[in-house]
Amino acid sequence: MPLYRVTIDRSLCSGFGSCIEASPRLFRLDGEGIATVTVAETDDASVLEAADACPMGAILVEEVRAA
Amino acid sequence: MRRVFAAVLALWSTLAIVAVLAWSHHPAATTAALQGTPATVVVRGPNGTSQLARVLVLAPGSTAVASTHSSTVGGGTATAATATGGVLVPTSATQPVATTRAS
Amino acid sequence: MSHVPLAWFLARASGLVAFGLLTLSMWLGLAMSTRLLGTRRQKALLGWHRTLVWTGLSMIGLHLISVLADPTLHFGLAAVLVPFAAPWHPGAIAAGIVAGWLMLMLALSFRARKWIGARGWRALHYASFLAFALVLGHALTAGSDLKGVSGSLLAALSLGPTLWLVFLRLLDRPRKRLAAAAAANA
Repeated sequence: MPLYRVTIDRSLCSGFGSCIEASPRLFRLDGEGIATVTVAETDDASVLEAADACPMGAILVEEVRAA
Repeated sequence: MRRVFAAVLALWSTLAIVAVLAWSHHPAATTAALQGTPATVVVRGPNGTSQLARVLVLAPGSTAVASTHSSTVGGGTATAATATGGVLVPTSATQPVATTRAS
Repeated sequence: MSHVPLAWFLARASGLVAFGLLTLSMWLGLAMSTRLLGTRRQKALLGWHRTLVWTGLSMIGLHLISVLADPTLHFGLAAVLVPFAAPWHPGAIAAGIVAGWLMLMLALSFRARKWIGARGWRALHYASFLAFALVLGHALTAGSDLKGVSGSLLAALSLGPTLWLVFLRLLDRPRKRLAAAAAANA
């Protein structure tokens, strides 16, 4: 199972919430309305869908361990 | 690429609308010029008769056409009105008369 | 050869095109917030939304320049930039001026997110509905091409989809979808 490291560029995020819809366990909106990750690394592949869904391209997903 | 496409589409749409407005502009101007501003004048005939005639004062730039009749007031015979330039619309006759040009 | 009021035609044409672009942009924004086209198209929608906003604002600029250049209107800079300063139909022109300033502010506010915050930016964005209403009012009251049936047609064509999308937005589909997704994963 590949392991993904997820980071969010807060300067790009505008709180559209598409990432939360794609992967509700991994993302949430903080008090300022900016998305944050609940875990820094995950093997949940939905994180890729969330990154793809972000209109601002604010989500960076790096594969740290190959399948 | 998207910006270029949007800009080109916007400019072409604008030019198309300008073309339509320009194309439809001339016929409207001619019609308006021919309609003109109505006024009623008294035209004195050669025998001292007075005739009432409606004159349409046209916009500058319009062309004169021709003249024919006007109706009489208080008897007398109808005479041909001189084409000085105005549209003389007979008050009771049916034939249109001349066109004029406003100074 | 009769005089062709080119500046006047350009003012009318650019105004109509600007209205169309900005209405379309608003529809895309609402399509984003309602997730009407799904989450995968959000990036493309946002891109087109922003492109159409700036293209529409450029057409508004052309609209202003044409009005200034028109020899019949005799509009000065104040007449096109300051509400109620226009000598002709001041109320109708003011609606357009206020809408124009609002739209410029909304477009620039996206770049100011780091100062006003994402929440502040989203709250500010609700002013786009006011801008749309003012633009429509300006078009119908000051627009030479929108008297009678054409005005009603324009209002129907622009308002219809807008009201439908706003209705969808009010139903809060995104939030319900979020809640459903969270519940399914709980």
